Amino acid sequence: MSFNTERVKIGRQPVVVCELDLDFCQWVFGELHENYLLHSEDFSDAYWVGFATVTTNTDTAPDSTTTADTVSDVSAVGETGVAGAVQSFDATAEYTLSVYVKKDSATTHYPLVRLEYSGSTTEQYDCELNRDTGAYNALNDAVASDIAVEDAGDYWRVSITKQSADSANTVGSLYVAPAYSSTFGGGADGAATGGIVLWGAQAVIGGIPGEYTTTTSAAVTNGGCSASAASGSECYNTRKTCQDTARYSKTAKTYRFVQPVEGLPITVDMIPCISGKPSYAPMKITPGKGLGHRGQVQVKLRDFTYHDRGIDPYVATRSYTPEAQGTYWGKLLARNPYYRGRPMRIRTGYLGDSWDWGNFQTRLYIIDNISGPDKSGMVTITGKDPMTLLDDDRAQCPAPSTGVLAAGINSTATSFNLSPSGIGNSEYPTSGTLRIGSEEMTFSSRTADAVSGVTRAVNGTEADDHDADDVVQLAKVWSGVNVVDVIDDLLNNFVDGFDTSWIPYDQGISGPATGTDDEWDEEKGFYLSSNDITRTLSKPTGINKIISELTEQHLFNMFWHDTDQELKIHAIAPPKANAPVGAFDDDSNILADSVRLTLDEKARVSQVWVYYNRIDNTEGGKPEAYHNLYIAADLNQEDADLYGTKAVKIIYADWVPSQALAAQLAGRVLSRFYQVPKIIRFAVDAKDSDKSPSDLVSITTRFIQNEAGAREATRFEILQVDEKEAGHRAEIEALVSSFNGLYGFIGPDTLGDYSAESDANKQAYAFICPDSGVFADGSNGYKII
Amino acid sequence: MPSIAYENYFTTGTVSVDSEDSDYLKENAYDWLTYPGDVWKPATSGTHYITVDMGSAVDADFWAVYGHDVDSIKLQYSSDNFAADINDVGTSVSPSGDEVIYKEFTSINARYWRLQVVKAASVSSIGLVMLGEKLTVPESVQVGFTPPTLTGGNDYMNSESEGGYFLGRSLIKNGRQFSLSFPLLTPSFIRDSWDLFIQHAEAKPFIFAWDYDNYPAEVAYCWTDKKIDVPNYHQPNFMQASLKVRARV
Repeated sequence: MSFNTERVKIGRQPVVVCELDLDFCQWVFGELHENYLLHSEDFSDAYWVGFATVTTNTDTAPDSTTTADTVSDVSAVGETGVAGAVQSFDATAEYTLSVYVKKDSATTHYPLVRLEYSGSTTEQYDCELNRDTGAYNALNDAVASDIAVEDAGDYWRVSITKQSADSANTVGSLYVAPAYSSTFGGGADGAATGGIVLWGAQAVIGGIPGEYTTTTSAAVTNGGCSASAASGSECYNTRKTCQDTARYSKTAKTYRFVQPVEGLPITVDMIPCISGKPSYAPMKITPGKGLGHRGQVQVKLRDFTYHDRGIDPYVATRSYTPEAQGTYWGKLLARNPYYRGRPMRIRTGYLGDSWDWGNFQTRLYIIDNISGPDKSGMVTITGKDPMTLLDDDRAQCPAPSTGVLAAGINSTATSFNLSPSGIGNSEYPTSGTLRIGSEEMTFSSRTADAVSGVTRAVNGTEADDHDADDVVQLAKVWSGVNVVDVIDDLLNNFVDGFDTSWIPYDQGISGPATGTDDEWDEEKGFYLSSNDITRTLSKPTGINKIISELTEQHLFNMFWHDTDQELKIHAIAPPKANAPVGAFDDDSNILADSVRLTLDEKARVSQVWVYYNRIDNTEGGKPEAYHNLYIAADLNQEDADLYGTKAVKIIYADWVPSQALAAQLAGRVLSRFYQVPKIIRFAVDAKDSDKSPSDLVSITTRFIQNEAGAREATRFEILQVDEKEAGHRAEIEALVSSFNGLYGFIGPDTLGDYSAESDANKQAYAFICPDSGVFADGSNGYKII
Repeated sequence: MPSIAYENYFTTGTVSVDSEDSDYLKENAYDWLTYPGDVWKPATSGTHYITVDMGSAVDADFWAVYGHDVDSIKLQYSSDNFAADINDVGTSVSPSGDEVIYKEFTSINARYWRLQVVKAASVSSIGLVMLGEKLTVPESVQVGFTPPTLTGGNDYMNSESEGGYFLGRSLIKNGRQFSLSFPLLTPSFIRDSWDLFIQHAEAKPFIFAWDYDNYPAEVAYCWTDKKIDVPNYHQPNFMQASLKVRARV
């Protein structure tokens, strides 16, 4: 059984999977881990015995340091290797010995990793490794289940777990032979020679290799759990039930649920308890009006009795019968109350011929709430898109300062002390901008809690007396910083839990840069290239509010793309030269009886008033608070023979520092909304549902006609895609995307005259027309915006 | 004649396995649950066994597996816990898909039974194993009965364009549903056999083979749907029994 993301899905059955990643401690209850091998990254140390040749620090190790060694067998007669003895050996304990072996496609030699016990009876648990594929052969006393080979990036981590069969043994050791064989599976070959790269040898008591810890001259405790409750009273490997919170080590455990459809594969771990279909409230962009509506999903799941196998690691020791006590969700939520903010994925696909998660369409959300089980035995999980992490109650800039004035100051003081003691070093830089009351001030020096070199009443504010215990708020200052970098700064430094992988910005501060432009780089380098910001923010302000203002005042859409799992920035402007524009029409795409066409009368704009340059940086949002006003108007549209009325849009542009940007903002808003915009809503089959908000699409439908009654292809900007029937039908809402006038881009030198150029180039590039404003064929001239 | 298989020695005997992934314990193989992931998995690929010791010799005449990912599977029995006495019951079964495996055989009396599962390239998975004595219903299915493995009965959602073209179709399969009705059962069968089956069916699933002799592959893993009808005297010397079931095949 399987899924197929082929969007033309004739006769396939859609299915929805819901995944929750909840916290889970990596340790086994009551098992402490100590690395009993010494010099774990230095195989040249005398601790390691044997005749192999060791060259130290030849390669980058899994921890990105250059500490991996090359261990070579240079003898064509017999096998050589290195061996390290387990310290404080206990023959009655089960050990797991592990070592990292670098991947290599060489077929000249294959290494052997051995766990050996000796002293009374020699036992050799051997693993022959194929460094190219990670395949292994269990040799001598080993069976396959004694061995694990974990993919660790550029390395394989080979581990062997076994307890000695002879309690009289006195020695345990790890032995590695770099050239055990010349043919994988062909047996020992003493003539084989060659080197391998090794790093991170470890011996721990217990059945898992555990987190690796470096050792030098002594064994090192590297984690584990020291709880000692009686059997049956173990934790559930969650923070709520942890009995050794100091050692709690969080990883994620994925809980997977699926719709109870026929034909699910038995081998994939998922519980068929989803009731009905997920309920989506899809994200919707609102061009020019801030951040729009957040995406949300609700999934209803049935509760049921459960045997706890697979979710309670110690189910076998419990004194109660799990399926006879409580329910799945009742127990899961009691053990995992800290679910808010954890990842939630909704995956849709089709039953097909083979199962491949790569063929699923995956949407990422953040768990907002899990309610229930209710009286009907239902649990409802609500997920919101990750932009919920920007909510004003979760993230602010600047972060609220906790320092206060140690003593009152008058309106001319240029130094003061902070309180409580020590707050200076912990919260304040050595220079910057502060706000006390409604006065902003800069300071050039801070030593411990003493602030000096204060310049009072900056940024148009007034100097004033301030009392002891008045809050000294550190301000955030941007000076000539591009709007894209301001957003990157906010997300990286002021939003907890925002994953940097969600920001497609190669030059961003999360770095390192690869040199290949990502989407934000392209937007910054194009329409937003001149949108530099100079602003002092001296009052903790919600990140959502800040970014909403930025999108409105620098005219771009910013939205969570749930299937790309990235935060997108798209400038509100004519499409770039040769930008792809999809095409929908009545025959091939638009579903029957689904079209609704409306006009958004309130969205028309004939004048744009942009107030900018605050008089007092702490006051805004009203005309008298600004030095400057820029007005752009299309008075023709107000003519009595046309719309006949004014439609004024007022923008208090606190993030617009110059007339040039105010003019750009006003011009683009006026061009975008000079007419009453059409809004179209229609449905498409799953084959066409891979569109996203902000995508452009040309729609040809009988519902949009020209004066002669012919269908007229019209370009729309998609506002929302609502997957009404998962994997089957989506409803799309789109706003007409016409800009007043003809726009083009500066073309290459190879372009000819307008009349000689192709239609494609006429659409892509700008041409200079005669003074009449029209070309010889009557076409309108281009505009510069 | 129809067969109903509901007895399961794996739920009453002592079960052991030769290998077990700690996240997929052996108990998953006989807890009657067959959803994805509720499986027994050995820790490694290759040949493995799930064994049941009944304490003393018992009769069995069927075995079944539902929910599986194996190359082949075979039933064996022994009198010495497979030390030296190892006997196959029939030949290995190599399933082509995820169909219900159900095999009837001439009754055998043994204490130790095991299923040998083989998967060479990866670890095998077993959702449910069953072993026991089947119940043979002494009356054929009635006119109107639909064998559960026949296709059809699914729902569809079509996509048709504004211009009238076919754009796609989603198939909606939610499992099988059918009714079993036996109007001419003897009162003694009802009292001695059917009632015991109903006591099981009120709580747990079962396997139904409507005509194993002629259509051995047309079997279904069933559970009752809604209220089970109480048997009644349909004619003076015969009783009628029926039930509605949901099924996977």
